Amino acid sequence: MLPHLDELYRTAVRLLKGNRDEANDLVQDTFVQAWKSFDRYERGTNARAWLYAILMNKARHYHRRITTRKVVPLSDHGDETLLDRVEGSAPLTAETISDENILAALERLSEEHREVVLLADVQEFSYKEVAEILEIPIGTVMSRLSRARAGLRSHLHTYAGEFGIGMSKPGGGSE
Amino acid sequence: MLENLELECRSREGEVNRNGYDSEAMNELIHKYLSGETTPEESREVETWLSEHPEEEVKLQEMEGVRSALRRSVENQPIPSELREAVLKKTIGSNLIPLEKSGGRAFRPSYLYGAVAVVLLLVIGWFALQSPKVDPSVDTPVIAQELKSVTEVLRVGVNDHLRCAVTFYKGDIKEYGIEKMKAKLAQKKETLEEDFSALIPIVQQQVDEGKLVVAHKCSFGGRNYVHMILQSEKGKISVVITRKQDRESLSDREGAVATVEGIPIYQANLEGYKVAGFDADRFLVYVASDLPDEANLAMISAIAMPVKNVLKTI
Repeated sequence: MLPHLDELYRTAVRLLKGNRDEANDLVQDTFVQAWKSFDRYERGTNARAWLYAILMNKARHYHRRITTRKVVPLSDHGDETLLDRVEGSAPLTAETISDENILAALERLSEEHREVVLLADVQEFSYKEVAEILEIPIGTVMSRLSRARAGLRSHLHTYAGEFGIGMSKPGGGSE
Repeated sequence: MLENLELECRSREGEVNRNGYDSEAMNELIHKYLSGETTPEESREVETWLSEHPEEEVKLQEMEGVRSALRRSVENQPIPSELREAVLKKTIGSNLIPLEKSGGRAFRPSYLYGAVAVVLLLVIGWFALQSPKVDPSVDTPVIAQELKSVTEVLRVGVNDHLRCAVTFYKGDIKEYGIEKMKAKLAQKKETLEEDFSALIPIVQQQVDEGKLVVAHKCSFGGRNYVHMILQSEKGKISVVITRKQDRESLSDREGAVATVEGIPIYQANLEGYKVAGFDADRFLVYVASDLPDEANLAMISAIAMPVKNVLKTI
């Protein structure tokens, strides 16, 4: 039994923009690190969050390595420029958003925003847990999450405008 | 004095609600609401704001849709078959075990591998048996994580009641009519593609309290629900069904308040509502309402077995 292996791998793939080989290595390194530093794990604390903290810390090194190797610049403000383009598009729903589009939108977020949205919205960690995992203040978690969500929504509206997705009825309520 | 007070209550954008939230603060609160991090009071504040700002309501629904799509797409990713074995090899791999200090011999007798495996199993077992230190609902050790707390599981039901029956349908609801309700429950919906229309006559026939006015499939917080709403003099009553997710179960848990034909029923007061629930194989079934404890419990008891029987066939 390896706790949380699958979810850690899935998170790693998305953190590394779909690079499955690197994600595979990253998860193996995470468990090796957890195994080696097991004596530092504080009994009774949140084991899942502890594993994620190791994953996130290692992912930053991986990310740096990959981006250096590929020489892909990453803008911290890249997501903000799109925030105003949303108005006027048709509403988006989970049903009209394809996996391909949402993952593409996720990749367009900055590393910091991607981390927070994966932890809070996909893995459903609380703000407090996300803050502890990433070692940042809760206020920063909140602001990054708000920007990440706005960025995703904005990117998806852009795709919807370009490719005609997200054309559900406006104001479609909760159905 | 009056002027000063007025100035204090105005934001730069010129809009504040009655509790003094400006647009920026409300935006923050809406994100907290979406994450399920608001207090009941804050939730009510957000809901009031949304009712007064339909365009914000649409944005919130979109963000819920995006969240749901994101979770689905991440969970759809396949896991490499060799990953588990590779991790086990690397962790059981002897170069990581403190046995290294025994003179640097390359050869390791097989009993050492056995010992290492035993140590690994003990560590994993110990890991798994950790009990939460601070907050059982937040600190989630490995085995405890296999099952969410009963309260957490019940919260799933009350969330949909709050979001849909209370917030989305404000005031009295215009009846859908039987045909529309059947069509809505037959509609395909992501993760709830099946036809649930056979539930309508059960809820209509078994429930004395209120009248069935809405039956549909709705989404909130990244999951889909079959949702039937009854309108009674005492308020709205929701019958909510959702597909179980990881670590969610209401079978053989402590704290059942009743057992109906062998089905344990659990009940709690959450967010100011009564919510009762039971486990029906692949699904969780809830009744959430403003009714007194006994009435809420009586209602779920009346539908428990027939609903479970229908869900078995789906």
